Amino acid sequence: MSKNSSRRDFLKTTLVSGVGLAIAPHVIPASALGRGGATPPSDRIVMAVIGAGSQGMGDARWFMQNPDVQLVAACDVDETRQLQAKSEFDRHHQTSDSRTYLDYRELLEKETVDGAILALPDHWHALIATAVASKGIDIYGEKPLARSIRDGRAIVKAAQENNIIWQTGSWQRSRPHFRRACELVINGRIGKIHHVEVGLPDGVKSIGTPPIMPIPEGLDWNFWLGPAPTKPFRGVVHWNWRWIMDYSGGQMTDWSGHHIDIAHWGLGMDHEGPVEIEGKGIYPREGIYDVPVEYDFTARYKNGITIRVANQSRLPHDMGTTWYGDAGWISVDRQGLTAENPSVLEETIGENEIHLYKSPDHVRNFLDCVKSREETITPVEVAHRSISVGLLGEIAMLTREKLQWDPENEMFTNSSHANRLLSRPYRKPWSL
Amino acid sequence: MAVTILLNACQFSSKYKSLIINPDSDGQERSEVIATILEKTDLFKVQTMDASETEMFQPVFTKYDLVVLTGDGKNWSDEVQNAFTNYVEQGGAVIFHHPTAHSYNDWETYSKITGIQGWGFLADPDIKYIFEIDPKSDAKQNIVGSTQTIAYSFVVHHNSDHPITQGLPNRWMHAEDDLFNYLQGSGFNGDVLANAYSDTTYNGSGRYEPVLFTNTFGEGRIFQTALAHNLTREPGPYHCAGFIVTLQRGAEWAVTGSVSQPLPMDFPNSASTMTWLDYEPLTIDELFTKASSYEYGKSRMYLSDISERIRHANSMQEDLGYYENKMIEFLNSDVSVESKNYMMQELSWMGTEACIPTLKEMASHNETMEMAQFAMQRLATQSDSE
Repeated sequence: MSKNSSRRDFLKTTLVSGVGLAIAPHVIPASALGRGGATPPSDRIVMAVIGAGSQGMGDARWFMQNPDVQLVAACDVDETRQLQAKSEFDRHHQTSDSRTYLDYRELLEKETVDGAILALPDHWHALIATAVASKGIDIYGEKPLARSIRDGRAIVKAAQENNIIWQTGSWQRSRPHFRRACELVINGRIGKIHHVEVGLPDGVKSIGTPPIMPIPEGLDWNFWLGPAPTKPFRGVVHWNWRWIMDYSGGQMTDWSGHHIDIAHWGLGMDHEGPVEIEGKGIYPREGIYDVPVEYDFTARYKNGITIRVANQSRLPHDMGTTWYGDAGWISVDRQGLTAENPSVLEETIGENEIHLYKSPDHVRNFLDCVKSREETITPVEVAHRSISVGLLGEIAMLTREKLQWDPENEMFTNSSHANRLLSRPYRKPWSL
Repeated sequence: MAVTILLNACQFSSKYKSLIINPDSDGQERSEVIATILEKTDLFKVQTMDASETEMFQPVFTKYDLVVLTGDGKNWSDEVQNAFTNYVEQGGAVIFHHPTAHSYNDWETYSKITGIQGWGFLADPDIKYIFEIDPKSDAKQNIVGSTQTIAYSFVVHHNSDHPITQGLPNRWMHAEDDLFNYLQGSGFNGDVLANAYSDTTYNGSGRYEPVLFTNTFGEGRIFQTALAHNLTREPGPYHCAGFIVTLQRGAEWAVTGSVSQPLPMDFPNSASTMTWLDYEPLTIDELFTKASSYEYGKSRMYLSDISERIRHANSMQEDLGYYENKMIEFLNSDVSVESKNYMMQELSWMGTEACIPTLKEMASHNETMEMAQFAMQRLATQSDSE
């Protein structure tokens, strides 16, 4: 940790003072300066990716667009992916010495990095995020934050106790039109908000019931399962793990970190949780996928505001976040911004009104914060509160009870059944 | 004893007298299935009658609370046609089942009663479609009543305010079946309760087609189900819980104008079909028996059904002890390892101390140890927090 702290302090000094290079020459030999005006190594943020699948490598490419990032290591339980990552990192950095790991614990033991990209199946989030945080390594962690409320709280605790910078992959916050929507809502342009609708994707089509099959060469299936129950390999692994409840809550939890996150932001309720949740899910009777294909739940907050979360087909505004206020509605999704009264969208936000955190680019925001030690646009507690709504909805649907929730102590106050679903026991030898 | 007998007699006599008409000798089996489905409700007493010998076919419709037509056949005599018309006009209850839709093209009043124009000819721009299309603006050469076989993929949308469909899931997956396209009817004056997507993948019309609808004729109430054609498919559309339940509810509505039958505990949903081989849901004991042979990579539907029953019971605030005891019994019996592991995961959220000794026993066997520990850990977490 001391190694990382000192490196971090140095990065901060160079950014804040703006004269890092001027005072540095006696510390850094000139030969270590970057070639042809590139960022010198001392100012580079050295990173690893843990979970080098399509999401992890997509993130890594985004990071590599920043000249002050150097990706030095990739960890994945699938050898094919390790090699693909190494090849990309080496090509980009014009080296041949990036390292690959199957076991994240080995990476953490051997590598000295400033930051890590975590893009893992949800059931692995807590174990790896807490281990990485305990090394004082800053984290860009994919959403949703965690597979269970208890996992999420453990991540928050680890990130905060180790004073790491955390950015969640809830990148919509860094897009101008999402911020614009939230600023209009939070500044009362549609009056007092009483209800929000959040449309998330419809469930995916069943692939039926695949038989047990041989594990592909290079994939450590047992390690991939990790803390989840032992199950034979049936062909579902990369990406499509998210339709199986041992590893994910399906579209509903997968997207909580996007449109529910935006709903909270617009309400100015980033650090709050609902007090009552009720809803219904439609679960497939057959097939390897067992997450709900349709879902519809409503969370009520202590100020009376309700957020209804449902698969897009069930909602009038389809995908995205729609706030309903006394003076109309505003709806936002990735395509843009609409309002019941379109003139609302032309309004400017005055100097003395609320201006939300402005991030030019989600990855850049993380990198800047790694240097400045300022909070990112989606810090860990905010991510925890966003995914909590999805996870609470999942529990309400699994028990089909009207649940009372204490968001301070993170316990249900009226259901022992539901409280049991706040965590998912880990398979030995894994434990948090 | 005497009182009991009297009550039974009352119960018996209070059933709605129903007549199913076999249009021809081929319809015998179909009629028997429909009779079985109606009698499963305990509301109907069904009699079937063969219409294939026209001279012999002289039903006294007014004796019946409900008349069910299930198939086309030879034209009825004028006398019978008139009797049927009068029966409906004066408040009779009728069900037209899928194959009936296109019967008796020459009998004009019949199409007024069904609400459907018959079929097999080009759509008439002067006659309205039952659903969705404006015939004036539709220039396509649509063949009225053409059918497509749609494989396990169509979803039915309901008008959920009607007593027949109220409370049922508003989208559900029907078993493989034939689907009518482009139904037209100048006599149609009822409600479309459900329609199903006619998938172009199977040469369907690419639009939603009506499958459940009502009609009125005089004082009569008419329910029409276009679901369930081919009896030879196994398990086919006749076993679809969606078809069975809507037929049963539609029959009661036709007789009384309301539906007293409770909503079924099991039903197809937007992701899955649900078939009842004996035209009624499995008992919980039957579900456990069927679940006992579950293995990874095989059907898990009976396990899912048990989970759904438990969820439903929990939503009704029923004591889950009944289910827990069944699960304990199940775990202590000679059933597959995978089915035991599934049950233990279920117990992890809804079990009580009662299942702990069994979980401990399961934890002592390699194959079931992991899920037993999983369940015990969850159950223990809760007692800590309490």
